Amino acid sequence: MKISSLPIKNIKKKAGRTAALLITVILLAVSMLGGTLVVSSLKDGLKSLETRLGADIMVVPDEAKSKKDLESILLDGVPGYFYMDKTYLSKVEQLDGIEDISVQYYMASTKAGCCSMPVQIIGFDPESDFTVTPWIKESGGSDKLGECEIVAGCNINRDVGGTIKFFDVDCKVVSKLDKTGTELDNAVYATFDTIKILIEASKENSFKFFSEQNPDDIISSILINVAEGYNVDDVVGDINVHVKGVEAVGTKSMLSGISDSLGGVSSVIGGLIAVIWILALVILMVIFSSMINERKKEFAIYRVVGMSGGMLARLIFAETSIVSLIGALIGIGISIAVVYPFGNIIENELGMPFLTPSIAKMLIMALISLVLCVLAGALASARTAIKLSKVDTGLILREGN
Amino acid sequence: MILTANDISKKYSRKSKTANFFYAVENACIEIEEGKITEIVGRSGSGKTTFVSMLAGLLRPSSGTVTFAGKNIYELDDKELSILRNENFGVVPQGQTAIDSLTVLENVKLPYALYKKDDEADAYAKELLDKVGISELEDVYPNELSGGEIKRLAIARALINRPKILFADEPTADLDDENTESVLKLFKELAEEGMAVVMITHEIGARAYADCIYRMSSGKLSIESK
Repeated sequence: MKISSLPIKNIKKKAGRTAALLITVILLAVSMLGGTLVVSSLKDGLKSLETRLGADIMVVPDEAKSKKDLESILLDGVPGYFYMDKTYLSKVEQLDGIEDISVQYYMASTKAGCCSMPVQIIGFDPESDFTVTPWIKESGGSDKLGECEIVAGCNINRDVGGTIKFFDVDCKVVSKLDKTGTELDNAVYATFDTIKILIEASKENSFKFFSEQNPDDIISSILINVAEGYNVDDVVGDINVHVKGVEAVGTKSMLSGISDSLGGVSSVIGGLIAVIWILALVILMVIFSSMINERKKEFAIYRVVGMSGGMLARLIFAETSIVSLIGALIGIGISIAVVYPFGNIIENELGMPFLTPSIAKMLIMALISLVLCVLAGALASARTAIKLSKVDTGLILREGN
Repeated sequence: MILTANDISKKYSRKSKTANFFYAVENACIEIEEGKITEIVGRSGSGKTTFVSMLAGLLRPSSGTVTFAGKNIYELDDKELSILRNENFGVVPQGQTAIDSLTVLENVKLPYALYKKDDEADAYAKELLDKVGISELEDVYPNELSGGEIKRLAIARALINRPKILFADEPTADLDDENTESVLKLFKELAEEGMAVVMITHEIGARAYADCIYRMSSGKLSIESK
């Protein structure tokens, strides 16, 4: 028997005591890392949505339903569509303060046999586009799209080179986009030429509705980047005053609702983490304190046989740290196992963009949680351990008897 | 003299009608000699355990000195005193004092393993277990032992570092007559080999083995026979 194996032997022999400590530390780790991962994923998701919208202003038809449909497409992943006359583009273009302007056309595939899956199809013009093209480039794909070629969001279940059938037309996936954590991950992107082919095909599949919406005359939204020196709200106001029949929305203000909800969710999760930590620390201290009282005689025996106060304190610290380390690792494992695979479910339940952190960022968070949990365990036992190591052994033996 | 206690007292605070403190041990003096068995007798609560704890370096006296090999042991720092205790004093405390997570053999080797490689002590630990009559239980955990077996384990553990002084607080308390006899004989053998043995006991039969007997009465130590 090596003296260094003593903490492990003590931990193993007292399974009930060890289990109680483990469960408490697991709770600490899950609350800390799980909560932090959720909050961080929500914040990253919102940031990602802002980046991927890529425009300062979105102009949609001036109907309450259009704005709601746009939010459903972006936040709930419900494929939708709404249209307005393309003449609005030239009216908006004439106004001051516009740096970039482009249009998009929304179309939805169906569950019917003519389509592989119901998804949002977004038509864009590669010539003027400034939102989708940079994203394709960042994802390492080519922005040169031919007829019946599409770019797929990362959640679309097809690899590059695979095909997806829309209205009986086989569309080839030429690039896949990086994950954004938003519902845009569930969309596919195509040029207006491909959109026209799909509209024509939808007519043959009895989807008369789309056949009446020709992207040469009709569009779904106008995307605008405001020129330097102009205020987004001023340009939004200008469009809403001078162009009747459309509604301009600043993307930041559109996202502010989500941002507010996110702030609320973050506060609730932060509050919960704090409450769980305070409770768990109190529980840990009570467990350690009662455990050390229960083991007073055992500790006195170590001292009787010649263990110094420092060695005894180190033994208690080693036991606590080992249990805290194992508990923290289990808690971290549980948090990652829940947050990563079930990110989509969490996203749908919360109705907010949810982008899980990169492995590197997650590892840093896990490491911080690990250190904090081990420290919490050590701190909870420190006071009693140090106090005990300084008391005369004869007194402890006297109490023990 | 291997160990000398000079005027040691232990005062505890306790409120009573007459004072806010009491002396568990008051101005006690003793000289412990190598090769002799010193027995301390007295009624329960008279201060015997407190006195022996002070001699064994386990309880700091309120006043007085305990000198071992010319050094006042309570002037040493905790680490020095712990090592001194580990190397020179074997202690058999009162009651059940086995470490539950260790086997009988590991319990016995524990004092040795604290500062040295324990495998060196393997043969001697087994020899001691044989001497106290529990060699067949070396792989058993304490929760499977009887009170008497645990007491014998504690005796073997106290002897593993070949101490110069053995302090035993009621070492025969849980033992039957046969085992009591064999433990007392073992102590006699150890004393004959040069070890100083200090024993607290209520065992009448132990008197025959003692070289000198002290009586503790209400914290005051007096010599009964020498």
